[in-house]
This record gives sequence, C-alpha cells and structure tokens, in this order.
Amino acid sequence: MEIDLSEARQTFVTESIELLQEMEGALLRLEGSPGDQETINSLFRSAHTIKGSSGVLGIESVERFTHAVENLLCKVRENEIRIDKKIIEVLFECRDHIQVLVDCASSGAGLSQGLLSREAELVKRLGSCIGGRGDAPDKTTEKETSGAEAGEGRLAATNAWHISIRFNGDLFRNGMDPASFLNYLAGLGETISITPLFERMPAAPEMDPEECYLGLEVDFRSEFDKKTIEDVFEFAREGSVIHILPPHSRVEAYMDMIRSLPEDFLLLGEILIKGGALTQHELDEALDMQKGEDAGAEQHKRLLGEIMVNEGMIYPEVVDAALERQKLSQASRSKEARTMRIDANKLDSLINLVGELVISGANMGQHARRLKDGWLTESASIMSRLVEEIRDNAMRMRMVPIGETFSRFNRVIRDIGRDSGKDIELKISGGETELDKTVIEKINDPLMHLVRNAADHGIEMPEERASKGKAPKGTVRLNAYHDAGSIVIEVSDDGRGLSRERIFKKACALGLLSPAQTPSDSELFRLIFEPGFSTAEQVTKLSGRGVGMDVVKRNIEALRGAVDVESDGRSGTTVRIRLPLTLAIIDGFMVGVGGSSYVIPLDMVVECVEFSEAERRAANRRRYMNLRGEMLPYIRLRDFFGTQGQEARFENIVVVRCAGQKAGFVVDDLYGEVQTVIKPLGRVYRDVKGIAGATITGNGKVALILDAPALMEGAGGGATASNLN
Amino acid sequence: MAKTIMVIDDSASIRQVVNITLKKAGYDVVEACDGRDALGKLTGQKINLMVCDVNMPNMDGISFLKALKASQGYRFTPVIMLTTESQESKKQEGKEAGARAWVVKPFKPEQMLEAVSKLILP
Amino acid sequence: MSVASITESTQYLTFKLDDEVFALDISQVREVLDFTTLTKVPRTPDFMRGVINLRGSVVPVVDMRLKFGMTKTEQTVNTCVIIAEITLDGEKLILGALADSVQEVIELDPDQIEPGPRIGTRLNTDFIKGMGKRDDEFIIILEVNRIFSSEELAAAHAAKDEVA
Repeated sequence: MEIDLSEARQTFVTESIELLQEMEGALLRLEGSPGDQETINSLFRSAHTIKGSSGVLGIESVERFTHAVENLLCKVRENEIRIDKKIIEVLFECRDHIQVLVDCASSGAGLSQGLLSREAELVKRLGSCIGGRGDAPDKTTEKETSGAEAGEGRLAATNAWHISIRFNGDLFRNGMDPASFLNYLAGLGETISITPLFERMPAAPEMDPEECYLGLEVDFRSEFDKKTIEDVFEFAREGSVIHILPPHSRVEAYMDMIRSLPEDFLLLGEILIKGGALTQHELDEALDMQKGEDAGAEQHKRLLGEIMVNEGMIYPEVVDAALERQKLSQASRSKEARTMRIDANKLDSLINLVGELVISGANMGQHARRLKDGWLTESASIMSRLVEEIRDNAMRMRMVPIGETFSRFNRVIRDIGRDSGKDIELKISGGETELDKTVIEKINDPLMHLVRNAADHGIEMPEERASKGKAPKGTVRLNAYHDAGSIVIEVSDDGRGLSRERIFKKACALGLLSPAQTPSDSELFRLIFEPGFSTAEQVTKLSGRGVGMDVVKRNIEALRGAVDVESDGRSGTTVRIRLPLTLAIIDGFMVGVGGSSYVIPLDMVVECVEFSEAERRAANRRRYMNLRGEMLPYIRLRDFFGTQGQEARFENIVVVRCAGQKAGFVVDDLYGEVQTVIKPLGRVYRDVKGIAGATITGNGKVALILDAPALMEGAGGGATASNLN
Repeated sequence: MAKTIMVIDDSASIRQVVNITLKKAGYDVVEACDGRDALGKLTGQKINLMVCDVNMPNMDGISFLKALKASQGYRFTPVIMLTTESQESKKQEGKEAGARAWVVKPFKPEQMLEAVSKLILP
Repeated sequence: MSVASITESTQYLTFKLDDEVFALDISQVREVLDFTTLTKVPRTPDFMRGVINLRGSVVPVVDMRLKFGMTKTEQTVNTCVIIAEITLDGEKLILGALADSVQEVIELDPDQIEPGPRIGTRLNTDFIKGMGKRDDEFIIILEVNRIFSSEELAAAHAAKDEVA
C-alpha cells in the first residue's frame, strides 16, 4: 500500500520548530535553576519527540543526531549525570544543530561536509559529558549553601524548629496546663531550649490569678512535619497565637517539594500546603486577616504571601518558590487551552471576505436609507452591526501574544553576553499583549536589531559599569502595552545611553545639522534614524552590520508605525515603537479634495480648523500657518497632488500628528469618520508618494488612504523650524 | 460502519502518520495529544482501539492506561502502546497496566496496520 | 521573432481604439466590464487613469489610447474596461484597459498573422506581437506584457517625478 507522508513531513517541520523553541526555553531556565526536574523532563521529552517523529518519518539525519542528545538527557533525567554549565552549553549547540538538520530535511538539502564534521564534534562532546561523569553526583553541597543564605540570622544555625506561642488568657479557666503541651512536644523530638515570656504580666494588683499571661519561645528538633507539630497545640489553638517556623534545612526541602508538585494546584495557599510549608490552619488564619483588611481601602489590601511572611508563618523564599510554581502551572494551563491550528491563509481570506461584507452592508444601508424604508433600514443596520462583530471576532483570531517573540531574545542576549564578556539580563514584561500576527512577523527583524544594539552598544562592560557605580549586571528590557488603539513596544537598556556629542558631530559631518545649531535632545537623538548614521566606534560581529537604524525606522513605518528614542545620555536608552494593532483595518477620517475622497488614519488626526481667507491669501508666500500661536507647517493636497478642476470656495485644514510632529493638510471637504478596510494598491503604484493604500467606500467607489508620515516629510521638508523665521 | 481508532501522541507528525495510514485502510481516526486530552475526549463515543504513546506531557501513556482500565466504558478497549527501543522497562509497565500490543518507534506504516488488524475485531 | 512565438491557432478578443482594431490573446483576458467610476491616483502619468473596485479588489486601469499616442478615452455607451492578467517581473498582476468598444472573439491561425511593421504605426513597435489579417482588415495583436513592463511603468514614474 502506498502511503503519502509528505503532509506529515510538513507537520514534522512545524512541530520540530516548536519543540526546538521549547528546548531553548528549557535550557535557558536550566541555566537559572540547574536542578529543576520538571524542566529537565520537558527538555528530554522535546528531544524524545523529535527523535521519535523523525524516525517514523524516515528522516534519518535528524533521528540519528537527536538520539545522541536524548541519550545524554536520559542520563540527566535519571540523575546519573548532574547538569552543569558545560553540559548546558553543549545542549544549546546541539539544539541549534538539530534545527539546521530539520531545515535541511525540510528543504531537501543534503548534509554538507562541514555539517557532518560539526555533528561528529558535537557527538564527541556529548560522549565526553556522559563518559566523564559516571559517578553519582554530590547533591548536598549546593543546597546547604543556599539553605544557610536563607537564614538571615532569624534563627541561629541550629537545625531546629522554632515554636512561638502566646497562650490564650483563658487557658487556665479552660482547664488546660501549658506544661502538658511541652511534655507532649517532648515526645515528638528533642527540646533544645524553652524561653518563657512574661511581658504581658501586669503589676501584681491588676494581676488575675486565673488569667494565663504566659508566652513561650521553644527551639525543638524533630523529624515530624509541621502539621503534626501544630496538632500538639490543637486544644490551645483557640485564642492563642502560635507560630511554627521550620528548620532551615526544611526551607530548601519545601521549595523542592513545591517545585515538583504536579501542575494542577493553582492557589498559592494550596501550593504551600501541598509542599508542607504551611498548614491548613495557618492558611485559614491568613485568609481571615486578608478578608478583614478588605473592609478597609482596597489598595491597602495585602497579598496573601505578604501576610504569611509578616505573621512569621513562613519564609519569604518559600513563598517565592510557590509563586513561581503557580506561574508555571498557569502558563501550562493557558497553553492547554483548547486551540486548533488554522492555516493563516484561510484566516486571511475569511477576514478579507468579512471586510467585503462590511462594505456591502454599508452599501445596502445607504440604499435602504435612500428608499426611506424604515423596516429595511432597521434590518440593514442590525445586519451591519452583526457583520462588524463578526469582523472584529475574525480579526481577534489573528491576534497573538507578543510574548513568544520576546522570549526568543533570551537566547540572543545570552549569546551576546557570552561573546562579549558582559553580564546581561533580559527582562520581559507585557508578553501577553496581543497584536496582529502579520505585524508580529514583520516586527521581528527591527526588534532583533534594537535588542542587539542595546546589548552590544548600550550595555557597558562589567568593570566600566562598576566604575560608574552601576550594578555589574546590565539589563535589557522588552515591554509591550496597548495604548489608544495602538501597541507600544519598548526596548530599553540601562547602559551608557546615547552620546549627544558624538551624534552631534556625526550629524554635522553628514550635513544634517550645522555646528551653530543647538537642537534639543529629542531632535538630536531622532537623527540616529537617518540613513548613514552609525556612531559605533567599533563594529562588532553582532550589530553594526551595515544595517542601520534607518532600516529599522523604514520597516516600522512600512507597518504604519512610528519609532522614537529617549535617552538621558547617561543611564540608558529607550526605543519606543508604536504600531497599529492590525494592518487590515483602520479607523479613518475621510476628506475630499477636488471631487476625490481620501482617508487619513484617524489616530493621527488632532483637529480640523478652517483654512481662513487670510491664510489662503498668504499661501503663496509661505507654507506654514499660525495655529493659536504655534507654527504649523502645512501642505495643500490640491497642489501636492496636482488636482485639476475648480478650487473649492472654502477649504479646511486637518491637523495631523505623527511621531511627535504636527502638520496640516489643506483639503476641500471634511466627510467624517469611516472604518476602512485597507487594500493594497499593488506594485503598479508602488512608488507613488503620499498614498499608502486604497479602500472601498460604502458607495462602492475607491478612496485613497493618505500616507501621512510621507506627506509630512513634504510639509516639513521645506519648512523646518530654523528657516521659518 | 467504519471502526474508530484513537491515536494518542504528543507529536503531531506521528499522529498524522498514524492517521493517514489508518484512514487509508478504512478506519475512522480520532486524535488526542496526551493522556489527559484523550480522557477528555472519551465521552461516550465508540472507540474500537487506541494507539497510545508512552512518554507524553500532562498524562503519560502508563497513567492513561491505568485510568482507562479503571473506567467503566473503555476498560476492554484494546490499546497498542508506542514505545521506543530505549524503553524496555516501560514496555513491562505498559504490559502490567493492560496494553495489548507494542509497536516500536520508528515503525513503518505497514507494521502499524498489521498490529491494528490483529487486535481490532472484524 | 514576433511571429515565431505564434505557432498554433489562438483566440483573440478584438476591440477598437479610435477606428483601429486591436486584439488581445484571450487567455490573458479575465473579463470585460462596463465603464465605471475611476479614482485617479495623484502624481501618476495621465495614461494611468486610476483605480476601480473590482468586487472588492482595487485594480489599476490604463488608457491605451493615451499610451498609444491618441487622445484620451471619452466615456460613451460602448466604453469598456478589459480586465487582463499580465505578468510583471514574474508576478501576476490584474490590470484594466480602457477600450472604445469591444468587438468579438476571433480565432486566427498562425498563417493569418504577419510580423508587425517596423515603421508606419503610431505605436511603439515593441508593443505589437503581430498583425492579423481578416476580411481585408488589419488587426493589431498586442503584446500586453511588454506594454506594461516594469521599464514602462518605471519610465512613467520617472517622468512624473521630474514634473513634481
């Protein structure tokens, strides 16, 4: 029987890319916590799956090599080999090699001699990792170190439980004797010290002989768990304050236990109880406290973990471990969310069709209104609304979180750090921010450039940082958030910042500025996006490959976005990219010039004002107007486009803001807001200046979308601040 | 009516290979990506046979087998385990948990079909 | 060389510009539309008359009369837009061409086609694939891909930029 597996081979390639991505993530995590069993398992599983699938599909090159990798991972998983930096490094390189092999298999390319010898070298190194470390690892050393660090002097190095009790005043009246608890406790282990406390004891005249004023601090050694020890005080618990702090050696054990929990537990308290660090009773108490605080101002509500730490129920590092565990299980749960794969093209064509439906719906609405048929108008408007909802939903399907793109840079930062001898950390926030998949695909290259720039040129060498009084470890930060219909992505570093001097010199050399000018910081820094601008003194392997910031700017503008840079010239640089959420639909503002309709992206429109007779008369002499005391350069679209025909009696000026600059577009008519499905104009009009695309209006005609940034260059080009006056 | 076979494997490409192979031979195929997913999909529908990987995230093949054997509706459904040569011990575990046959990865589509045709009732 | 490429009988769509009859290989014609509203894209050459909405796609329309040195196409009841598929630098492209009127679909054998004249037409001879002859009438068979080659379009843009 002939079975065609070419489709499955395609799936294999996609699947492998995902698994390799996971491997990379796992390796990066292992660098931080080498002992994490769950991460090791996941690493093993990824390699195992790639090996298995490639085997079934007969892709021998991948199977053979991945098998060697799996062998090592198997030993690591069985704790026969302790993972260390060297092994992680080899595994990183192996991962990359598997990727190359998969690429070759996917393109049908054979393996070059170079690849084969690379493979042989890796296999040899894998072998030495396995061979050279047959002995069982010494597990204890590292744990004890971290255990001691956790101590913070709160308890001396005694490896003992610490029990702190303030008895209920009614203890004696309830017929109980503190000594009996201590006796019972002694049966569970060895009491090291008991310190009675009498600070609650009032002066003799006020003293009530029936009242219990006693407090106890007990150091106690025991193999029993927290719950058992707590149970000793079962009968005294009511009205008493009892804190049981575990020995330090336990802290690490709790943390281990918490990390190895299965992934189902989602509540912090549950995780802590499962890990043995907290008892149910303590949790209830903390929750009660938290609830009590609810009544007060909401913003003062403390976090559960904070309460438990403050109340001395638990060590902060245990809470941290639990929170991390919680994050992990949330992440894996969200990953398990019911998903299905859809070919992006199918989705695009759906979105296109729905876009058309919106247009024809609007068309129908117009006809209905013309016919003045109330019922028809009503149905048409209901249908339009539904169709718009469908469109919004369809658009949302294309939205994906940017986190995955961000996390790819972990590896980039790590490699730059390794190659340059810098200590750099990548901090990611806002990874859950969603944007259009096509935008994400196109933003990758510019981001790569910016991240490399930040790490390579921004972050200083550790010694240099130390001499400036900064932490030796540099930070590159990736952040994303939604802001007024667009998404903002920030790439920032805490490095040396932009050098005013050097940029100024370079700008003068390029003829962008004259030495007499004194531009503001933002005006000056913006120049780094000009072509030919690269001030790096030293071109390194990673950045400065001739692709400058001008390319970054151009790529971003091609996405109808804007980019800006901020730096205080000393402690870092932030590059801020602003992008539309989607490329397919924009809210537009429709204007008319000489009988043609044009659309301006609404988020750029600031206001519309009348183009007064006086300004019109002055129009021949100058190309700027006075807008409430502000100089506004403008461009008359009728002139710029060479529009034929009768001039309008009244003209309007649309004030547009883009990349922090304002300009005016003079138009004949203002038609108002429209939702616009963007259609490409095609390559025939590729080089037309000032037009970004086209759209189809409700009446079926084509309206052109203005390329505001390009037009503003036209408006500002002849009228910069300096030659205005 | 065509017999329905459930394929449980975390590798989409292996699922696809098995799926293509079995469909070609006239079976209906349901896919699940791990043990937990499979249990979720066993909601009363008739499954005549299962092909199940051992090493999977969330719920591995052995735990799935155990859960299956403890269930009401599917405890007699034959299961073929997919193992790799490096998992001899797993094979034993699987046998104890109630697997009826093994197919060792890498397998050829024909081997899979042979195993299936031996176990599935006509 | 022009003739060598026409080796078997082919169907052509004939149409009129002024009083001359032109023809396009039918395999390149998608459909024929009535004249519809054009939206002019500013700062483009005159012969690029604008864009139309073709069932949701934006399609450029060229005025072949202007391209061939005649006067601008005026709208009459017979004016049509011939939607053609051309290849530009290896990419498929949909383009509309204005015609004064569309005639018919005819079939011509290779022996009915002669090489285009080197001189004596208003057209750039590069645009002519051959001259068909039928009932004593000459039909100019056009080489669409060449009329709208990237050089032609680029030249148009360059000319416009000088003006601007």
